Amino acid sequence: MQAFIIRRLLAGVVILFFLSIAVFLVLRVAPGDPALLRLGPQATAEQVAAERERLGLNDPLVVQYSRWMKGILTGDLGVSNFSGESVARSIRNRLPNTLELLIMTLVLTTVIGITAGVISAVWRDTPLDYAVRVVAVLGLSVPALWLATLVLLVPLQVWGYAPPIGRVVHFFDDPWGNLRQFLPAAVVLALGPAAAIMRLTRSSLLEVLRQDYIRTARAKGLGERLVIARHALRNAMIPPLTVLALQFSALLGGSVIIEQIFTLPGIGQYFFQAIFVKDFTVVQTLTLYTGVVVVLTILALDIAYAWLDPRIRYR
Amino acid sequence: MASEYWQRFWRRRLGRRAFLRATALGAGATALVGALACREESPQATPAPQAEEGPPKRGGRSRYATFATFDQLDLHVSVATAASYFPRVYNTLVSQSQQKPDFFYYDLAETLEQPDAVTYIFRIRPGIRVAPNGLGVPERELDAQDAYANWERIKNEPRALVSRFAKQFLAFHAAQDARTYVMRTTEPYAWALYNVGLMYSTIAPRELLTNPDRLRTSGVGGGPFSFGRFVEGEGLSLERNPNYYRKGQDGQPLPYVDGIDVLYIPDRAARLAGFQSRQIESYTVANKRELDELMDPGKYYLVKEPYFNFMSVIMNVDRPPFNDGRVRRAVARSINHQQFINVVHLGDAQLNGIVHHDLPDFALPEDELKGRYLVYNPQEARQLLAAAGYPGGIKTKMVYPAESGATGGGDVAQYVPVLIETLRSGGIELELEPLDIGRYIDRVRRRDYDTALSLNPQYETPEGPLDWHTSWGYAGDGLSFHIFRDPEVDAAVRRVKRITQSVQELVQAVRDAQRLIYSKDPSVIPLPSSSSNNLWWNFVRNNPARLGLGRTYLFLAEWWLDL
Amino acid sequence: MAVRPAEVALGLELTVPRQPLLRRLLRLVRRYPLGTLGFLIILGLLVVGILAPVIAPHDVNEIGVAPPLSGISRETPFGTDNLGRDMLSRVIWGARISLSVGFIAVIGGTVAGTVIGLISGYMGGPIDSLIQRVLDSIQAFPALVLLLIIIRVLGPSLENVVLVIGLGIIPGVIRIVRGAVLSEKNNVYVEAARAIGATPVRIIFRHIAPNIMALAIVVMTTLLGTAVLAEAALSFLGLGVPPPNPSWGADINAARNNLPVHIPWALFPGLGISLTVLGFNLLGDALRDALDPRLRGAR
Repeated sequence: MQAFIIRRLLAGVVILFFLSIAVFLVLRVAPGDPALLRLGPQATAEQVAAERERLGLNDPLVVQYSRWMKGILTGDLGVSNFSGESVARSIRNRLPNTLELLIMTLVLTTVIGITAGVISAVWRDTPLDYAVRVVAVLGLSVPALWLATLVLLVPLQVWGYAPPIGRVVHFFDDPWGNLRQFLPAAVVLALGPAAAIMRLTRSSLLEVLRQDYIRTARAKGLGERLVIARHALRNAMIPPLTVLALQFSALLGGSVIIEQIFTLPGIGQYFFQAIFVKDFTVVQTLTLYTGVVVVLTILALDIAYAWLDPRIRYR
Repeated sequence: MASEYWQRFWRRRLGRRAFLRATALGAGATALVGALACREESPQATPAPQAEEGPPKRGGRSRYATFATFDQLDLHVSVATAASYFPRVYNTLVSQSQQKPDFFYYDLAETLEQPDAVTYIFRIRPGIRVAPNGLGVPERELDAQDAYANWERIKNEPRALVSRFAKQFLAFHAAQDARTYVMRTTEPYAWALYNVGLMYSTIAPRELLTNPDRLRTSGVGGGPFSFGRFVEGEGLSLERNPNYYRKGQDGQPLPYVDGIDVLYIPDRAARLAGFQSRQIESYTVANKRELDELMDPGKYYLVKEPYFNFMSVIMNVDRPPFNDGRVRRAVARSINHQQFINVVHLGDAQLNGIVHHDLPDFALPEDELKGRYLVYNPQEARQLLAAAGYPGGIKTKMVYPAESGATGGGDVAQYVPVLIETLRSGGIELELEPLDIGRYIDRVRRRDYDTALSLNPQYETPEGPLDWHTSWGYAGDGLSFHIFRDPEVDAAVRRVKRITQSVQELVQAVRDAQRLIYSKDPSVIPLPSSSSNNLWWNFVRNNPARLGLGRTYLFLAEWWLDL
Repeated sequence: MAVRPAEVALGLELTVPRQPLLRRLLRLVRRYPLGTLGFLIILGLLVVGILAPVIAPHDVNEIGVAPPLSGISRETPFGTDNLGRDMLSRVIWGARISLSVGFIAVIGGTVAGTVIGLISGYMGGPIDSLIQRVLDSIQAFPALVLLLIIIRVLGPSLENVVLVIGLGIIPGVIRIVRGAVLSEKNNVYVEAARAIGATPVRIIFRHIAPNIMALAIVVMTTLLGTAVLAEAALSFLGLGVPPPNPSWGADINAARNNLPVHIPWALFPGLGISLTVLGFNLLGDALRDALDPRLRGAR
């Protein structure tokens, strides 16, 4: 087990190394001078030159890369080219927002998705099942940005109500305000994944319910509720949980639109803005940062499997 | 009365001739400044808030939304949203409104003398004290040394936005004594004072300037507010400066409000939701239709503010066929400006000549534009093309920035279809080449394009658009993407720039220069644009935005909230 | 190419004992009512898209068909946008653009992903490891961010939107196909082919690939819906199909940016997207049930 973890960590480091080189090069290949983007087309040649010098864009690529890497390895995430703001500080400000949104989304996804999936499987081929399944397919079909706009504007037009906008209300200052701010966003964000989880739970549970041991359990006279709760559910949960964990990284990027519409300054929005102004330092560093998060998540997932399912061996 | 109140800040620049007369009276001329603070011409009517605003109230916080990100708080370097808040924190020497060129807002400078065409003597106002702060800057009075230190920095910091003016025109400047700051330009320059009054050239206490790193995220000055919380991605708070020198109608120091929260809200729907639910005070509507749907006089009032972004069709005169004046004129004749007004702006827009309509004094009169320069005549266009050797019309590639949606700026998508249609009527086929913003700026700067649909660089004075039609261009180094090579135009624009004596003379010269440029078939054709239609909640009273002063109003802190 | 799912859906049922065509169809419809619905939706949208030049009442960029921002009326059943362009025509043309973006991107991406997945799964060893490590690196990246960066590099255009969405789906396809190949590889027929000396290329493409086809088709159908959504998302971020092309995503976005409170403008392009994704999902579910029980419910 230990050897496995070490090997996977080493592999992770290699992946991150390639990732860093890839993003570094891609950003520099992309057209558009970051100095010009910052200063605008009316800047004088002299101003552009000074800006390029300040950003270190005139150095050879190797020098630029090693300067960046040296910073990362010594715990200095650098400063934004655009604002001069420390990237570490921005991440510190923004990460709690993204995390809160993600956690809420994941909780909603799990609760709604699994409940609906179980209901749908247990009462399969009943009107209830069909209703749940139709709602799920609809949930997958509505574009999030469209739904988010409606969620924002319909209560506004009808009741003149809007969630707090433009300033993050922290949970510990004002839990109710915080919920009003994050919950609508999380609901919109959770809809698609919840539908997917519902479908997965349903099919996985149906599969398990056909297994022999379930028949045995039923045969020995256990109540249907007990059979499902005790025996079937636990085994049926492995595939949905896997997908759920993988949602994490997908949501990290997928939340850009929702963060933008609901004005929750998080990592996704930071990423997007940085790409927009070609803020090299921020894009590079954030890429690497999310890379680390994802590599660790996947590793944790693999380890969790080993606990859940002793048949899985690590070689 | 509110109008009398505003009157107090009306000081007129001492015209040169007036000054010469004053000196002829002998010594003690400076003592007469107050009496002579009036031009020969009769002053314009004082702009005053339109409604009876009632007695001022104190307290409350103003909340604004911004759709662009803040970059940094360095007052000379910042290019983004933060710049609009420097006037709230720092002082300007004197700010001249470009919308009402007769209006001078005297702040750090109490008076201004111009003994000759190149010399500006600012008398520093006593009693402007630095706000309480945790940065170690003493709460002392600002003096001439501060003005000197700031302009020294602007001159030596290549990234400073006003550095071009400082380098090119600032021949000499000095603090002659604690209360006298003198600037001398290399040659007479019409927009010297404008550059002095910009929001990028405010004056910070000199202790701050020694630490540019700290200046990036904080700062303090003698303006009505000081910086509070600044969270990247979220916004900026400003807190009331208890030391501010100007007094309100109640005799107590301004400002009336306790602070300002500027919130970063990139999405239009979210801004609308924030506005309608009273979380922010003002909202810029997208168009006339939205205005009509939202407008509710019981809740909001409308302020039309100058809007400096608009679209232009640009032709590259260094490339055929646009090096031929007949082709350029054919393009001009193919553009149905009225169509843009009717369709893109739903009727709520004005024609733009070379100088745009939000600089009403300097822009050519609408009748003249309509009758002579912005004539839509596709038959003539086809004839011109035929005469230039293109009987079958021309086909040209047009570059434009594709991603207008996310930035919240002008919406290119609305202009393109109209443009295609109108140019086609004159025999000009457009081949569209949408570019991402980085590549777009890069291409136009290298002048690697045939035609472009462009969001113009912002300008607040007529100097910008005149420069586009010169061989040195907007940036002054011949590298700008608007270049026009005509010695006569160059000479005319140079002449305009040297006029410092009289606003009237300047206005006339700017208009004549535009007529000259039009006679040469210019390569830049600005399309009609609308002013910025801003709705304000009517609990915002005595709003300086209503004075029509352009950006100069940002220095005024006289509004209050009637919550 | 555009009608492929239809042919496939019917073609695969040909393996059941021969019956009169009508009866087989009816049986299919009875067995998969939702799938049939999805199929009909997609078929309908495809017909609309293909016939756009014929059935659209106006040119997409014809200005002033009716007053700007007209509501729903006889002349303009879907209203007009702020330039007075007929939204019905734009939605019809939008079907053409959004569906072509989806189909080209997804077919391209699935084919590429399947080929790589086949090779990776069958060959194993260092090639497999290399491909897997590259995939790990790519998946360490939030997909949307990856798309954003690529489109920044390439610049916004219809072709690049297609390319980026196509690239975006490749990793997922590779993983699914590879997994299937791994379990397929140990079947007797592969052993047999190897025993008679077939080359790896032949085994992969003549023996394993046909068995993976069903899986690839199912995956593709579901991804088509995702692609249409991705196009809308890119438009929102200002990096989608550039104006004045009438893509659904671009139109929703134009509506949001110009008049958030004017519902009809955004409603119909939005319905277009929802309907398309719904159709593909329903069809995908049915195909999955019919073709590959192993995949039931997986997404």
